[in-house]
Parts: sequence; structure tokens; C-alpha cells
Amino acid sequence: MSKSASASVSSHKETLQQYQHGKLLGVKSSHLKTFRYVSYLLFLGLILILPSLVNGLQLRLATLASIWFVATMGLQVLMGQAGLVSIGQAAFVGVGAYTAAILATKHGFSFLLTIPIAGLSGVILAIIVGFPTLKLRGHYLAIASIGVGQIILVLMVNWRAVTNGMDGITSITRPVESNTTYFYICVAIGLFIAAALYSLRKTPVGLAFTALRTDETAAGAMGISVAWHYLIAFMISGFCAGVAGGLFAYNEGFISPYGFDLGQSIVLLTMIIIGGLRHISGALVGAILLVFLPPNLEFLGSSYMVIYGVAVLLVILFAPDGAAGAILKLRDKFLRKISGTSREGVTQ
Amino acid sequence: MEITLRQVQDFFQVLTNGVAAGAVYALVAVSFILVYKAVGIVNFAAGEIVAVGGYVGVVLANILGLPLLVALPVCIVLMSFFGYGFQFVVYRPLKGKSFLIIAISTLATGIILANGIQLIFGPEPRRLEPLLANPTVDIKGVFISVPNLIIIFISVLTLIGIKLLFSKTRLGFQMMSTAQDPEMARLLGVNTDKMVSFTFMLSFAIAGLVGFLVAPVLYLVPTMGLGIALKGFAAAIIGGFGEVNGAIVGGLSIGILEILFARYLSSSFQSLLIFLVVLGFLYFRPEGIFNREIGQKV
Repeated sequence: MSKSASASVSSHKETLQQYQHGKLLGVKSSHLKTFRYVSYLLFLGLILILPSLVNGLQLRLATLASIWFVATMGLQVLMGQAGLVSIGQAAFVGVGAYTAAILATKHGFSFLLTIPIAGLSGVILAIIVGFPTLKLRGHYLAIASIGVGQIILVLMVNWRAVTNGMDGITSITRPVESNTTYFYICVAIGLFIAAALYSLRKTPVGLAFTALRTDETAAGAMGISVAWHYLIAFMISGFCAGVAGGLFAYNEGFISPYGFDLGQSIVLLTMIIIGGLRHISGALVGAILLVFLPPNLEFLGSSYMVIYGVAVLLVILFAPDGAAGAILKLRDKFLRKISGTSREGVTQ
Repeated sequence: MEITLRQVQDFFQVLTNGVAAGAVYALVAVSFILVYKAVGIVNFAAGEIVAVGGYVGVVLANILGLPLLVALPVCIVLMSFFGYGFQFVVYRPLKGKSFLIIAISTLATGIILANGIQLIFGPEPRRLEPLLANPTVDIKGVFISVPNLIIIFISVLTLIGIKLLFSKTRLGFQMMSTAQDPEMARLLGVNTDKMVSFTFMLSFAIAGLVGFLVAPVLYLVPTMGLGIALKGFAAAIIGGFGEVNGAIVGGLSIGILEILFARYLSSSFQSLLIFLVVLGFLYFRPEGIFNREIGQKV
């Protein structure tokens, strides 16, 4: 990277730090810090006592939400940070799920091995798809991702020797008996990946994603390797999806091609759009919303996805920061109130 | 191995089916390439728009009872109005927005259309009566289905019409200049807004035609859009994304290839083949079959 490019990146980094320290938001950084720690502690506390508060079904849904949180975080990096579009995330989840299930049931691999390998399988698929398409313009990845979703589905259904066709793979045994412990495991993995992705945002790679999203041509001219960084974003997205697939396979104990189709890809996409593309927490908010909402949409029958379409269209047109963005705005308003500052007063 | 007459006849029968399917894919590809060239938007709802065309045909012919030869032009006109309206949802308000936002909007529109159709018509398949009564004609022992012949005939007419529009008429030149350089076109007195509207209307009219043509052959289901759109996208990629000629060649090759593969090798891996071909093109020849330079507008 050239000298001026790195200078520009470091100045961007300063802006980002200022933003994170609350200066651009017009709130006192001490207040923001306190608020962060309090909310983190509250969140962790809630996670710890959640299993004793809810019934078995709700705990299953919460586990599912934490699994989709992992898959959706990948989409956040790809779409929210790098500005690419993938409409095949469920296929990557499926590859991870089948990899984990086959290794666990046929080859006796342990949970500690299958989950990282499931993530790796997502990375490999991302390389196969991303390598030819990411050198080209953005819409090629979007189209190729739908195509890959179909390829993976055809393989799951028809490559019976490996996938057992529509019958799927059964009796995948979880590493732990108790639902509560498995819930904690999924949440822990989710939070670990979230922490890793948070720190990635401040590294040159994370900053390059932002630069590419804002202006691909200018970023390329500054010396950022466009195709390479897009591929990294796609690999991260594939890894998250693969890990989520592995966790999903153990959680259900049974997997079949049903559940990794285009419909599921669109559900994951809806999660990140409604949750909020620009924030990693958007993945969490979206996953929780879309896991707990569908039972309330049953009156629409099999057409309930029409609501997702309308919601996605409205959010992307009028509130592209999504639910997480709205929550953070409320937070800033609250902090400005207790600091007695205004946004304009501090940014000037 | 001896090749019997029956096998030859069978081959030609399969081939005509492939050409008919290919003509449909070519039309779908042309329909969204027109919009892509004019305004730079890849319409991810392209397949669902074909489905809407088919269901509009069902409403006109089966529910309102119009004769098919009346229903077809009415369907095309209605679809072009739909195209006129469509641009006010996913094009005009999104001018200057990022690719991501535009792509997600068209995708969401597609989801709304597919599920909206399901909400109104239910998931069970619908069909239109074919335009002519007798189902097959016999040419030297080759039985060719009449709906497929009609598809091929109308597709060829349509494609010739589009070619003539862009090479002979003033309207076509104005549309093309709007696509190539809107600023310059405007300076030279072309009403570019109007041309964009025309492009959307033409694109949707073609999609409506496709929906109407495939309705007697494929049966209409709310989720049919995905498969059709994917083949259309594949045809466009093989043809070099943005070339009408390329899209025609791409569509025909896909239609013929997939049907021959399904007939003689494996029908369950048929869709796999198409995507491997497309991936192969992306790896080795992303500029398409005619080796057109692909540049990037800054």
C-alpha cells in the first residue's frame, strides 16, 4: 500500500475511533463507556438466567436465534461492510451442516473438530464461487450466489451416496445432553465470533471493506486490492455460515435438504436487513426478530414471506440502518440528554 | 452401435423442445438486459414478472373468458403498464443509491410478487389452453408439440422486431442513446425520462409475452419465477451480460444443452450442468461467448 493510502487509512481510523468514543455522536465518552459496560453486563446476565425464565420451546427458539445470529453476522460483513450481495447464504449453512453431520456420524469426529471444519467448508465454497465472480462487477456474485444455492440443493437431493438424498442424515448426537448447556455453547460461539468481527473492523482489512463499500473505484485507485478484499469478506461470510450450519446440525439432530433452500437464504437476508446492515448487533436483533416472529404470522399461511418482502423493501428504502440503527439512535438521544449536550455542539 | 430411425426422430423431437425452451430463456434474458443496459439495474424480480404475465393471462382467459387471441395482446399491454409503474418503485426513488440497495429492492419486489400470487391464486398449478387445438404435428415421424412451435415462431418474430426497433427506428435509436450516454442524449434533445419509461414497458411486455407463452406448456405456479430467472441470467452471462445477440445465443445453447443432457445423461443433475457451464464462463471467459470487452462505468 502506498504512503498516501496508508495515511488516508490511518486518518480514517482516527475518525472511526472518535466515532466510537462518542465525539461524533455528541455524547460524553465516559457516559458512552459506562452505558456500554452496563448494557453488556445486563445482556450477559440475561443470557445466563434466560434458560430458567423460559419454557422448553422458547429455549429451543433462543438456541436457533443464536445459531442464525452466527450465520447472519457473516452477511453483515459481506453486505453491510463490504457492500456485496449474496442470495445464497443458506447453501453455505447447508454445506457446513452436512460436513459436520457426515464427519460426526460416519467418521466419529468430535464436536470440537467438526465445528471448525464446518466453518472451513464454508470458506472453501466461498473461494470456489468468489474467485471467478469477485473480479467482475457486483451483480455477478449476486447471480452466482443464487446459482450456487441451486447447485448445492441439487447435490443434497441427488448425491445420495454422500447426503442420503431427501431422507437426510439422522442421529447426529449433541456433545451435551442438556438443552441449557447447548444454548450456552451456541451463544458463547456467537459472542466469540462477534468479538472477533468487532476487532476486525479496526484493522486495515476492516477499513478496506468500508472503503470498498463507499467507493470501489477510489479504493482501488488508493491501492486497496479490490478482488482480494472482496474475497476475504466472502470467506468470512462463508465461515460464519459453515459454523452456523454445524451448530444447526447438532441442534436438530437431523438434517435434510429442506431448510437450506433459497427461501432460507432469503430469511437470513431479511434478518440482516431488518436487523440493520451497518451494525454487527443488527445480526443479533434480526435473528431474534425473525425466529420469534413467524409463529405470529401463521394467519397468512404459506405466503407469510410476503411480509418479509414488504418489510425488507420498506427498511432498505426508508431506514437502511434497520432496527439496530434505531436502537442505537435512541441510545444516543438518551446519552445526550443525560450529558446535557447537543449533537451539533460537540461535532463543531 | 446402430442408430435406428426411431432414435433419430426422438433426437429431433427432443431438439425442438430444447429450441423452444431456449427461445423462452433468450426472451427472458433480453427482457432484463434491456433494463440493465438502459439504467444499469439488474432486475432480480425478472422471473416473478414472467410469472405475473402468466397469471394475468389466466385471469383474462380463464376467469374473464376472453378468447386467447384477444387475451394475449391485452396481457402484453397490461404488463407494459405494470412496467411503467414498476420504475416508480424500484428505479426512480433509488437513483444514485448503491448497487446493494437497488439489488435488495428488486429482490424484495420479487418476493412480494411471488408470495402475492400465492396469496391470491393459491399454490396449486394453473394453466392456459394452448392457442391451437391439436397438440402435436407429425413431420416425418417427428412429433412436435404445437405450443412449442408457437413459442419458437412468436419468439423469432419478437426478436426480429426488437432488432428492427434498435436498428431502424428513431425510437430505438433514442432508447439506445439513452442507454449509452444519458447526459449526451439529453443534450441532443432526447427525452431520456420517456425513453427509460419505454424501456421498462418494452421489457415488461416481453416478460408478459413469455409468461403467456409458457403457460400452456409449463403450468403456472407462484414459485416458477426463480427457475426461469436463473436460466435467463445464465443466458445473459454466456452472452456477455448486456448484449442482445449474446443473450439469444446464450438462451438457445442453454435450452438445447439442458434438454439433451436430461434426455441422454441424467435428469436429476440437469440444473447442475447449466450452473457449471456458467461458472466455467465466469472463470475462463467472463466477457461472454462473443468476447466483448467488459468495462466499468465510474
